[in-house]
Amino acid sequence: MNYLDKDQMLSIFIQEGFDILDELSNALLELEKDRENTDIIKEIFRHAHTLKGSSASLHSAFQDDTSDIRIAYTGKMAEVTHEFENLMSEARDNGMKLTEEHIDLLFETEQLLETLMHAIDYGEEKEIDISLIHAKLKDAPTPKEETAVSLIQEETDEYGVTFQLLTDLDPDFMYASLFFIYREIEDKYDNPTFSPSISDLEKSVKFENVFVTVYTTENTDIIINYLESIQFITNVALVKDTRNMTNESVPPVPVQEVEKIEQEPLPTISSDVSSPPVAPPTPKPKEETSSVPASSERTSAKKSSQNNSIRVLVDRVDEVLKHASSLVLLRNRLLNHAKKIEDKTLHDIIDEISQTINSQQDAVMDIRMTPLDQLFGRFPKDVRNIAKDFNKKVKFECIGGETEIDKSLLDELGKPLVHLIKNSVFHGIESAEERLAAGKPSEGLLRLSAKHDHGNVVLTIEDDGKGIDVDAVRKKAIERGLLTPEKAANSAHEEIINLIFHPGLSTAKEVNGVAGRGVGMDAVQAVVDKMKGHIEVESEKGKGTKTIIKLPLSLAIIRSLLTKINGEYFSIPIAQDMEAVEILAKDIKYVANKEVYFLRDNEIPIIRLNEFFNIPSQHSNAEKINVVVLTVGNKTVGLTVDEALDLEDIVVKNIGEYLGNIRGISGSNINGDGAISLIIDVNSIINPPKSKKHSH
Amino acid sequence: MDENIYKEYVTFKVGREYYALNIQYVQKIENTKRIRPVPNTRKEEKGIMDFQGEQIVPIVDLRVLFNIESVEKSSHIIVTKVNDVWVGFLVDKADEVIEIEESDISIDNLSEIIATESNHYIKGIYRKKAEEQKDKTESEQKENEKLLIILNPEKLIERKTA
Repeated sequence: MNYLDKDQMLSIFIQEGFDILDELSNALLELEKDRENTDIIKEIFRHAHTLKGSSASLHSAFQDDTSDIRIAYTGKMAEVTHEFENLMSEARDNGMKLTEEHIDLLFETEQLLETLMHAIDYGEEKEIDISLIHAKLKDAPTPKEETAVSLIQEETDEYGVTFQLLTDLDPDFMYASLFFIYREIEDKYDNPTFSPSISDLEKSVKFENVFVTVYTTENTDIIINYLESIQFITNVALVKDTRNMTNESVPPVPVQEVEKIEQEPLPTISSDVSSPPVAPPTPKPKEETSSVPASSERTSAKKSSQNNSIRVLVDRVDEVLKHASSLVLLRNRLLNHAKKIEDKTLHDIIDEISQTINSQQDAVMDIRMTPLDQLFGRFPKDVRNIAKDFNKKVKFECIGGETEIDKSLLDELGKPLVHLIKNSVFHGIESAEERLAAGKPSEGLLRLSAKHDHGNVVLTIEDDGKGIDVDAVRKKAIERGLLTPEKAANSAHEEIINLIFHPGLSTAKEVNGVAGRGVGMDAVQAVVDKMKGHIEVESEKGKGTKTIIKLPLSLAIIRSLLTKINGEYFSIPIAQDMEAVEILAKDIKYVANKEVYFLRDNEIPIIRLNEFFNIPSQHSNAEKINVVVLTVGNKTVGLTVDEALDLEDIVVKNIGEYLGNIRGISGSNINGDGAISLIIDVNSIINPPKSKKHSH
Repeated sequence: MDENIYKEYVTFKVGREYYALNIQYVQKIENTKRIRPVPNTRKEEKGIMDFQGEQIVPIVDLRVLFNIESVEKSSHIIVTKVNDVWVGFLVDKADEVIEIEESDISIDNLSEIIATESNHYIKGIYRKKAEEQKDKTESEQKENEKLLIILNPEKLIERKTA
C-alpha cells in the first residue's frame, strides 16, 4: 500500500486551500455588508480553523525537511491562521463586535494567506513577511476556546455510533495522514467526532487508539464497509452504538432541499457514477445552527453537497479523456471501414458502439466542465480592493457564474479577465465627483456576465464609465502609422475602437490612459486567440465600455465540418450560423476588387481557401463553387472548398511546437480513413493578425 | 541528462554525407509514409505525420535544410524528441547504430570540412574506421572509412523564423 507522500499531501492541501480561500473571501464580502451576521462569522471561523488545521498538521509532519521552502510557508500559514481563528472565535463565542478596521484586517489576512498559498503552490523562494498581520491579529483579546469545544462534545455523544479504527499508517506521517482520513470521513458524514481530535493532531498529542463517532441513520455494516474502504484503514471495530434504533424518528430531508443542494455549483467534480452509495444528508437530530463543534468544521449546505462528489486530480481526468479520444478516432475508422461491408448484424453492433462512445465522450467532457464561479469567485474581492485603492465607488455584479466551461479554458481565463476588470475600474469608471458632474450615479457599475450561446461561452465585461475616446485612438493610430488619415476617416467606429488590441496602440500607455483603456490589450487578445476565441469591444464615449469574449466550450473534442481542398482534408470548426452552399461562379460580384456573393440579400465576402493556403484547387475555374458560409463575431464570410463532406466530432491534436503558429491552421485531427486533416483557424483568416512592423 | 551516458548514435545518410544523432533523442526510425503537407510553412517543412496514433510529428527534410542534392528517394524518417519538441527528420536512409566516445568527436577544422551555413547544426566530426579486413589494401580500407557528422539536436529543433 502506498503512503501519501509529501507532494501528494501538499497537492491536496493546495487544492483545498484555494477552495477555502475562495469561500473565505466571499464570506468576508458578506460580512462587510453585515458585520453582525452570526452565520457568516461562524463560517469564517470554520474556514480559519480548517486552514489552521491542515497547515499545522502538514508543517508538523514535515518540519524536519528544512530544505523545502513550501513546508516553511505552511508553518507561517499555521501561525497566521491560529491568530485569525482566535480573533474569529472571539467574535463568535464572546460576542465581540467586529469593527470596520477588523474587516480590513481580515481582508488583509485573506490576501496574505493567498500569497502564502501561491508561494506553496509554486514553491517560490521569496520573503513573505507575516509579522505585521500576525501582530495585528494578535492584538485582539484572547478567546476562551476550550469552553466551546467541551460543551459540544457532550451534546453530540448521545446519538452517534463509535468505531475504533486500525490503520497501517507510517508512524512518521501519522498526524498528517490521520488528518486526511478525518477529512474524508467528514466529507461523508456530517459532524463526526474524533479521538484524538483534530486539535490534538495539530498539537501532536500522543495517542494509542483512533476512534470516530458518526451521526447517521446508516446501518453499522454499511458504515464499517465505508470506513474500511478508506485508504490506510485496515480494520474497523464497532465500539458503541447509542443511536435511537427506531430510525423513523429521524426526520427525512425535505426533497426540495436536496434538489437545491444538488443544483448548487460544486467546486469539485461531481459524478453520479463513481461516487459511493450515499444516504441523503441527514441532519443531526439536534439543532444544527445553535452551535458548531470545533472539531468538525464546515457543516454548511455546501459541505453536505460534497457527499455526492469526489475530488479527482485533473491529470486523471485527462487520462480518461485521452482514452475516450482514442475511442472516438477508432470509431471513426471503424465506421469508415464498415461502409464497405454488407452485414446487418455488424452494422447494428457498430451503431450501438457508436452511440455508447458518443455518450461516453459527452460524459467525459462533462467531467471537465467547470462552473465559471470558480473563477468569478475571486473577483468581488479584487474589485473591492482596486476600487478602494483608487478611491472609486464600484458596484460589482456577477451574472451566470453557473455557466460551465472546460477546465483548461477556465484556467487560462483568469488573467485576461482580471486585466479587463482592472481596466474598467482604473480607466473606465470615473471618480464619484466626475460621475455626479456627468449626471451619473456616484457609484459606477461593473458587470461581469457569462452565458452559453450556440455552443460557445460568451463572457461580457461591461462598465458605465467614460468609454473609449475614439478620436484619441484614431489620432494615435495615425501618428503611429497604423492607419492612413484617409483610411481613418473611412473606418467605422467599431473598427477604430478595436484597434486598442493592436500591439502598437496597446503598449502605448499614455494614449490608453487618455482613451480609457489600459495597456496590454494585445496580451488579452493573445490569450483569447490561444483559446480559439474571439474578442471585441463596443464603447460609446461617456456611456461606457463593453468587452465581449466568445470562447468554445472545450478544446479537446470539437464538432466540425469536414471538407476537401485539392484532395486533402480540412476541418472547419462549427461556428454560429454555418451552412454549406453551392453557388454559381457567375454570381460572384466584385467590390473593391474583392469577390462577394449575395446570399439572401446579405453581402458575403468570399475567401478562396486554396489561394489563402497557396494550394492548387481542382475547381478554381468550375462553374459551381462550394462555399461554407459562417459567422464569427459580427463578420460573415464564405470560404471556398472543393467538397463539403460531413459534420463530425473531431479530436483536436496539436500540430507540434516546432512549427509554431501557422497562418490559418489551428491544429489537426486524424480522420476516419487514417488521413490527417488540418483544422482551419477561421478567426485568423477573417481577422488577419495585425502586423507589428508599423508599431513604432 | 548527462550526455556521456549515451554513447550510442544513430547514423544516417543524406546525399553523399553521413550524419549521426545521439540515440537518447531518437524515438523511432520509421519507413517513410504519407506526409500531410501543411500550407504556409517553410520549404524544408514537408508536413506532418501521425506517429503511433498519439502524436502529430512535423517532418523536416534534411536535404532541403542542409542544401544537399540527392537523387535517392528518401526512405526513412528519424523521429526525435528534443526537450519535448517532436520533429521527424526525413533522410535518405538510416544506416546503423554505433558507439562513439565523446572524446573522439572533433570540433577542429569544422569549417574547413563543411563550409556551408549548415555547420550551425553540427556538433563535431567523427572518423569511423572501417573494420580491419585482411584481404583489403590500406587504400581500400581508407575508402571504407566514414566521416560522420555529429548533429547538435538543440540547434536542429531551433526553427529558423520565417
